[in-house]
Amino acid sequence: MVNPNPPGRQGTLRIDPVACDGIGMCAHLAPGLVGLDRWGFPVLPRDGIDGDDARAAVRAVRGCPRKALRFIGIGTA
Amino acid sequence: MRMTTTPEGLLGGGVVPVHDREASGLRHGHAEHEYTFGGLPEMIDPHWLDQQLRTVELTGRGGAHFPVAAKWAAARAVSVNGWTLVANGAEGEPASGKDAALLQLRPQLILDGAQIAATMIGARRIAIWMAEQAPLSVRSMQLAIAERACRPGPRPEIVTTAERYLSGESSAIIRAVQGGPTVPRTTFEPGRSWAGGPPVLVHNVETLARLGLLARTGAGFHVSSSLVTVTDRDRRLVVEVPARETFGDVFNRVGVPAPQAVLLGGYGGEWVPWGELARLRVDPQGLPASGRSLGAGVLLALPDGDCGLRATAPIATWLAGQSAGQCGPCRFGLPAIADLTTRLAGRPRRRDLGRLRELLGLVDGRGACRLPDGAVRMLRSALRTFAAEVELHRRGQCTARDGRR
Repeated sequence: MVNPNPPGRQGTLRIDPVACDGIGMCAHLAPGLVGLDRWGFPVLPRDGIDGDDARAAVRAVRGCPRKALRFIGIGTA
Repeated sequence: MRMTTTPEGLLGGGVVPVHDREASGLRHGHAEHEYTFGGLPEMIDPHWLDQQLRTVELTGRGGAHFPVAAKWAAARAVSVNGWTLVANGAEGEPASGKDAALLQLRPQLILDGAQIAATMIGARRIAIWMAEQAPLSVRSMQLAIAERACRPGPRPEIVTTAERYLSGESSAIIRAVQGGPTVPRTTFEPGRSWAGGPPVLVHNVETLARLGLLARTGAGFHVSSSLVTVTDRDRRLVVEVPARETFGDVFNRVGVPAPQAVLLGGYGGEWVPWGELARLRVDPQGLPASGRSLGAGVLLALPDGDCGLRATAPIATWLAGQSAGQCGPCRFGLPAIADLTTRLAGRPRRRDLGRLRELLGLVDGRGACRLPDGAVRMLRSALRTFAAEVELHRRGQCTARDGRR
C-alpha cells in the first residue's frame, strides 16, 4: 500500500492542546517553524508547510514525548 | 370558518421571567401539549420532514446555528450504528434562561423533537442532558417522560451533570455520554467529533422543541423565530422573537429601557453599542451579514450611565475560572487576561492596554474548545465598544454615575 501522506510533502501541523504539556521538544526539533509562547507552549505556523519545513515538522511530531503533534498531509498522492 | 388553535411559537407569545433557574408560566402537561400543538403523526415521512426543515431553515440554537438538516446528513453519511441522541439542556451560560424556560414549561415539545431526531439518525439511546443544580428542570422532564408512555423508539433517559460553563460544550457532553469526564476534547475531524467511542449527536433543547413544533404543526404554521433572554441587573426575561422584529422591538416588548450597549450572545459573545443593534432584526440567518451572531440568544444589557469596563472585568474573571485547565494557553492566558482587564477597569498602568491586546492575540484559537476564543472575542469587542471609557480610565476618570472606581 502507498502511504497517502508520505513525510516531507505538503501539509499542516496541528496540535492536541490537551495532550501538550509544554515540554518544548517540538521547538528544538523544528526551530524557526515552531515557536514557544511565554508559558512554553508551542505556537504553530498557521499556513501549510512543505519541503524542508515539512521534514522538520515530521521530526517534531515523532519527537513529541506527549504525542500531541500531528502532521496532516494534503494534496499528496 | 373553522376554529383552530394557532400556536404562537414555542412559548405562546408572552414574556417568561426566569428567576434563580425557576421559570414563571403555565407548564404544558401532555394534555395541554396535544391540545395546543395537535397530534404527532405516528410515522413521519423523512422526505417531508427534510422539506419542512429546508423551508424554515431550522438551525442549531445552542449558539452555532448550524443547519439541522446538514447535521443529520453528515450523521447518516458515516456508517456507524448505535447513535446516542443528546438533548442539551445544561445551559452553562449564566445570563441565559431560555433552556430552563423550555425544560420547565414545554418539556413535551423537547421530547417530541428528541424522538424525531433519534428516528432520523437511527439512534438507540436518547439522553436529556441537564445541570443537577436545576432541580425544577429535572423534575419537569421526569414528569414529562412519565406522562408519555408507549411511544416507539428509545425511552429518553435523564443524565445530569455538575453545572459549569463547559458542561454545555458539545465535545465535553459527548465525552461524558461515552463514559468519560465532562471536559472538552481535541477534535481533529470536525465530522466525527465523537470519534474514540460510540457515536453521539448533540442538539440544543430549543432546536429539538422547534423540531417538535414543526412536526406537529408543519412549516405553514411555523414562524421563523428565536428564544432570547434579555438580562439586566436584576431580571432575566425570556421571550420568543419573530425574525422580522428588531432588537429595539424586543426591549420595548419586555419593558427594559434602551441600554447603552448589549453583550450579544452571552459571555463568549460581543459587546455591541445600542445604536448599532437597535435597528437590526433578530434573525439568526440574517445577522451574520451584519457581522453579528445571536449565539444562544443572550442579550445582556448595560444600562446607561454604567461603566462598560467595570461590567466586563468580572465576566473575564469568571470565564478564566471556568477553564478546565487542560490547555496551557487557556490555563495561563485567561487569568493573565482577566487581571489586566480588572486593572483597565480600575487604575490602569501605562502599558496594560498593549499587554492585554498582545495576550488576546496569543490565546486566540489555541484551546481544544472555544472557551478561550469566546473570551478573546468578548474582550476585543469591549475594547472597541468602550474605547472612550478606556481613555477615561487612563486619565483617572470613569463614566459611572457614582464615580467610584
